[in-house]
Amino acid sequence: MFNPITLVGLIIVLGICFLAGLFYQIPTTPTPSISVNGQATRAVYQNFISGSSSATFDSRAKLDIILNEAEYMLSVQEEDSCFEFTNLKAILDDIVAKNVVTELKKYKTEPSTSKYVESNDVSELQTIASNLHNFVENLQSLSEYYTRLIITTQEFATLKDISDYLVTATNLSSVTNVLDALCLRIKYFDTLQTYRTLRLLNIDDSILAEFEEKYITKTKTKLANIRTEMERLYNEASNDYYISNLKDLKNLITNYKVIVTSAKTAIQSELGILLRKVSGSKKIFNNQNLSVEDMKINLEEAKFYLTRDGLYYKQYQRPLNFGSASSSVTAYDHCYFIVSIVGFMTIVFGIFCAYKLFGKDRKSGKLDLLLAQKVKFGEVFAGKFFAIFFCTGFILASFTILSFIWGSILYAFLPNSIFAVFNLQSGYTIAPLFFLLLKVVGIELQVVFWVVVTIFMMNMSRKFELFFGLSLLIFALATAGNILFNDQFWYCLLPFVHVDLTAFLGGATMQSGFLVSALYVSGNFYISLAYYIVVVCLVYNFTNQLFKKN
Amino acid sequence: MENKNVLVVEHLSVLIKEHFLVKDVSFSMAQGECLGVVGEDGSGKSSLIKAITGSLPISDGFVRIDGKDIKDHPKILNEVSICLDPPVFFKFQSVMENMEYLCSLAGKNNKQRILDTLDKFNLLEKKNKKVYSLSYYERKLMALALAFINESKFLIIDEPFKSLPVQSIQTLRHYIAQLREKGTTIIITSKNYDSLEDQCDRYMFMVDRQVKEILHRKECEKFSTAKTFAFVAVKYPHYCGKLVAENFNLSVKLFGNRVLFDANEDTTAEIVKFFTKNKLSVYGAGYLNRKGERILANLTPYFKENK
Repeated sequence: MFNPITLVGLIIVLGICFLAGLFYQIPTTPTPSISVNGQATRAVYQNFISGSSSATFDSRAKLDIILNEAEYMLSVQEEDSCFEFTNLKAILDDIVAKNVVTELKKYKTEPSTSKYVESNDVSELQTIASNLHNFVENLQSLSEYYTRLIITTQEFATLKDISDYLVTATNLSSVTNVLDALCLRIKYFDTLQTYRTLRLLNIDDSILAEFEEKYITKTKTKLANIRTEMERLYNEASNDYYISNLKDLKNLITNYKVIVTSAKTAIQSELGILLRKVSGSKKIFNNQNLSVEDMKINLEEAKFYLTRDGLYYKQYQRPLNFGSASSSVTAYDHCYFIVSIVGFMTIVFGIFCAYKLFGKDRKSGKLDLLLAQKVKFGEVFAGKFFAIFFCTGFILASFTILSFIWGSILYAFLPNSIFAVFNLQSGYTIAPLFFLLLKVVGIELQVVFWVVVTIFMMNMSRKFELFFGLSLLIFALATAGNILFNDQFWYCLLPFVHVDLTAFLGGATMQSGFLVSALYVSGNFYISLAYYIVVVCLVYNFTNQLFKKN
Repeated sequence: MENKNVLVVEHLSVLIKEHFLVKDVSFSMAQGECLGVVGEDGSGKSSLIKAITGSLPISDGFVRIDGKDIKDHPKILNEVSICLDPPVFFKFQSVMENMEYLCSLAGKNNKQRILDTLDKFNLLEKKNKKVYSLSYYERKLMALALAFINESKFLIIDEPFKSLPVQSIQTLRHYIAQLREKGTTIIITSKNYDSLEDQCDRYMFMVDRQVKEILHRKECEKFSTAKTFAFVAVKYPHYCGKLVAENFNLSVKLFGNRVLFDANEDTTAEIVKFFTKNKLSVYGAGYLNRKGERILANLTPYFKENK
């Protein structure tokens, strides 16, 4: 049944492809998409806090921005503030005050007694001092108009009022940008910790008192109002009636809550690492038992910043969520939608053609007729196979062009239609046309795979109809599995069953080790192509063997 | 003598899924000879042909054409043409389209030659008709015409006279004779010896996937007066054969769906009544009259129940 030479050759080809996939990646291909699966987010978070150079994000520096921003929130301690930090206060009281800052003071006032002088290792101390210094400087940068806004006498009853004011004042066009900037500065204004920090650095009491009265008290009030408003908006946004109006704000508020909470977690880890180095304490706090929710939050935060800077390539997570259809539908969306449906039907058509050409023709004797005309088996196989390939390719190409024409005419008249579910224009950073071509090519490759599976089935037995039905059943199961299990590791072992090359190229949701790196890291297209060639060769080999036996 | 043999088959066996489709078949053919392969349905005629043409894998033995083993020199099979039964063509294409395409596959796509051949086989008027509209006989003619165009050294025709009226058979025999005149070596298979009579130089009789006898035409003549057998055609020949042997104390042969025995008309009638009484389906009864059947019947061994 097996041709050992062929089999060995194919295994060698497969091995080479795996190795190639490990070491060679297409640099411009999008990074793998990140699901909210716990395993995936844990991996992301690990990269996030470990500062690993193998992090999947393009820019470590961008993550550092998050950390830097979060550092400033060390000062936000009050329970009634916009955000919650329950542990940092204690941590800072215990650790910073007792160990590091004490040493800092000692270094500044009595350098001869500082252990850092003795050890000539002041890097950590310098880092902390630098951070604290920056912190104070920012506090004192009261010229920033956002800061002034917060402490002005003007009353803002709602978050919207604030954003409207800022839009007018700063000519920013996006509420998102405004609120983004606003909330980033909110965290500067804490009360007690700021005061304490300033005191630890021997800043004059009179300055502290003025600062507190002028800024802190009023800021607290503002913060309280903003917090209330945010919560109100958040709660209202969950009411369907308000969804259309408040959806963006809801997401925004969630994101900002996410920013803070995740920054807390991140800075806890960073601080823990640093303090362990400095004080030798172990396990200051436990940062390993993070809930899935925390990880999701970290993930959202990272995505937020990277997306803002155009460094994060999103992948559609819920392709058929009609509720998220974009209002900015384009011709590409129409085209993509129709091609998705036609693609599925094309694969079924390909399976039927394979049954007809390799099963029914054999049953009727046409295959024998061809073979009797001194045509080699390989020529017959190739001829029929490529006939199916080009026929289905023609169908796909035709529908792609027709649906694009359709979309070009109608997209303006159907802004919120079902055609917008994939949201090509704003949902992805890959050019929509390229994305569309990926889809078409991917479908054609899937046709190839399922055709060869059907050909193999046709040669299992003379019961052609039965095995044709079996082929269709396997295809249906694979499609269902693609929807249900595509974030499971074991599904990684079945790369061909994805009906969509875009999922593969964009990085499917599998995030596990070796197979991921071989198949999906940066979308190694060449490896999957090699897989297809291997499958076709295997099927040809088996077909040749089984054909004669049946 | 051996070096003049265009086809040599030695101990050919085809074993598929633990069943012999052909078992230990040996024969040879000289250039220009016509061999008739006669046997009931399931005797292995078609399987033998497929094994010779390479469509079935050979489990044991060898097939040599022009001294070359077909396993080692598969290209030698280019010298072999085969007319299949039933004759299959691309039914939604016309006669001419089919002929042109199939001839092009064989590298002999000469339009004028095709037209001349169709004319010869009285198919010229129907050259533009779709194949599905042709009769079985016309498709047979198409298959023969195709073989004629290919001008192969070796031609195998599977059941050319099956289900055809006498006049059509005569016409086909005429065309086959023409092919013989061109020096083509021909193997013809048939269930019915009578249709092959006087057509072939030798006749190979196959029973149970084995060759029982290879007789020259003249040797077959002696079977004209060979013993005939009474038969009863039944649904379950094996079981019925056992019943006849036990209840009527007769030596029985199984011949397709027929139980053969040597008995007079009265005994035959009794046997039919017996089967009917025991609610065993009987399709017919009588005596084997055809020479081919008599030959095969005489070659068939007596039925022995496996114990």
